[in-house]
Amino acid sequence: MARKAVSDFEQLLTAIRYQLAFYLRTYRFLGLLILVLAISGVVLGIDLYSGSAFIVAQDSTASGFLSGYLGNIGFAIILTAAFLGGDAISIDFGTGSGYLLLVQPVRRRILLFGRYIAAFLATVAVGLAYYLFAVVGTLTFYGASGFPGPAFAASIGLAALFAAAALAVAFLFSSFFRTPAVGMIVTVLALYLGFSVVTGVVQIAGIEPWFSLTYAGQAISGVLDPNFAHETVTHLGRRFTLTSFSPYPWEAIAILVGYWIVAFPLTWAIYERKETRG
Amino acid sequence: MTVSLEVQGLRKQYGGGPLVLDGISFRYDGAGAIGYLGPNGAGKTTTLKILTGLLAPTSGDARLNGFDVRTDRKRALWDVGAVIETPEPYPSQTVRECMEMVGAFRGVPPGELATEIPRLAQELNLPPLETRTGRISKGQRQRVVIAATLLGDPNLLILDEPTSGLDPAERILIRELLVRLKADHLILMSSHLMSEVTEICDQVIFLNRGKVALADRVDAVAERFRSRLVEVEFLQPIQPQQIAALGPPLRSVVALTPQRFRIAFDGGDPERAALLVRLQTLAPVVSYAPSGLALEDAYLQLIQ
Repeated sequence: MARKAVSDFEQLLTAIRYQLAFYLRTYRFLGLLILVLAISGVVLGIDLYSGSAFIVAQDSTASGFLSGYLGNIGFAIILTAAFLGGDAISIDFGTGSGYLLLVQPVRRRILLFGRYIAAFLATVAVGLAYYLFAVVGTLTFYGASGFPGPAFAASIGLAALFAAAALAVAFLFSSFFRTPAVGMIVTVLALYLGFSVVTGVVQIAGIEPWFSLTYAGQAISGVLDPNFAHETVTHLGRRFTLTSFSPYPWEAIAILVGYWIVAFPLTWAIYERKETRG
Repeated sequence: MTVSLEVQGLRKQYGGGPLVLDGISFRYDGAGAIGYLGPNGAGKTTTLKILTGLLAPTSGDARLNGFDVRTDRKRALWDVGAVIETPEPYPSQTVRECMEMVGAFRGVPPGELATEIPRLAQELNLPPLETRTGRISKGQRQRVVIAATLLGDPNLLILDEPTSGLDPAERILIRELLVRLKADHLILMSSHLMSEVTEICDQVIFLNRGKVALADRVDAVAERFRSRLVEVEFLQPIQPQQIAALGPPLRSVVALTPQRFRIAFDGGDPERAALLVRLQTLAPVVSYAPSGLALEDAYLQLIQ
């Protein structure tokens, strides 16, 4: 039988292709996409029902509308990253699939990169679906002339970076567990609840949560906010004040890149060395 | 390139536990089949996992076709087909997709896959190619994995109990396939089925407590460990104590039924003939024949 030398790049494309097919076949990607489309669609539906005059009275600029609309996109991205990346590594060590794939003449890093790229593409696709409704709403209420092109592009860039960092963390969690389902659940809880709770508690104490992934994610909508303020003090009665923080775009980029730089190489190192026992 | 398999001073220790492999070494060149035998926990699967890069040795080297598995994994595994433990295809994949994925990683061109997959499906009696692997039986999945392993015709096959979990018909199918393949492939296979090893393999390695207890040709082992067990059936029930009282060369006796016994003895054919004469003094003997296979005897003696 004829065989040809197969390069790492060709094997990377194979890994991406079959990982994307895996997401489609298991309905994970479609389920998440439908969920996000439903949430974003309901939000747009309420806005359309409220009418253009009401919406414009609330936000006088298209940029302000987009910022408000995208306030929850971090949730969609984190949920997608957790469900797509939460078992990316553990599946090889907690199921028999590792015995099929890891004995093939392919470097483990190629399998890792392929899965990561596939998960990134799928997560970005889900995020863009959310953006699609936001654009439709903006054009409906404000027209094309006021569309904040550069800030919108910056928002998408930050969303992509946020997806990359969230996936790196999800992959890292996945490398700690042997059971795929446990890895996925812990990743969802840690990324969605854990970070959100810590971010909220720290802000109540008046400290900027510069170390939080979800805090950095606020820049996705913050970069579009015409009334952006890094620090907002709210007076609760005469004695109490609540300080809330929003990250600067550069600050968010630094946090997200920091997460990626720590999480992804660590995952790589673990995956390269992890033994298939049991 | 001549197919080769070599391990040198292989040691493996999990954490601070005892040595699972304690400096094993062997080397084979050219086609043939090697049975890798030993009791559970002897280190067979650990060796095979090290050979396929699933585990890292604590020390020592493993080389496949001349390439070090640790430092040159891709080239070492390039011409290797391996079935270790119980590989599971992704349940959402069809049989065809699973095989195409493995074929793509192994560098088999799509045109070749289009002809090879149906050929292997027919040879190994696989389920319909569009069936999802999550919906087929364990034995069918095992055969799908073996078929995928053969894509690209690797010259070295490393198989960990390849017929475990298969029904008798499937076992025969795989056994016949391996007998055909060993003519121009090197096969290293672990197994607990001595009859299977006797039929397929030319050489055997007995592993015990992480060390190579014996490595030789199957026929040489058979000669060296000629059966020292006989099975005797009397016309009427006998007490085992009556047989045990016969003394040397009889070593031990196990009652299979009130009339049938398995007897271990010391010595060769003259002692076996003398034993028969003495057994006949207890009751009429209906049958008297060597019990078990030479490899079984070797196995039992080597692991004690």
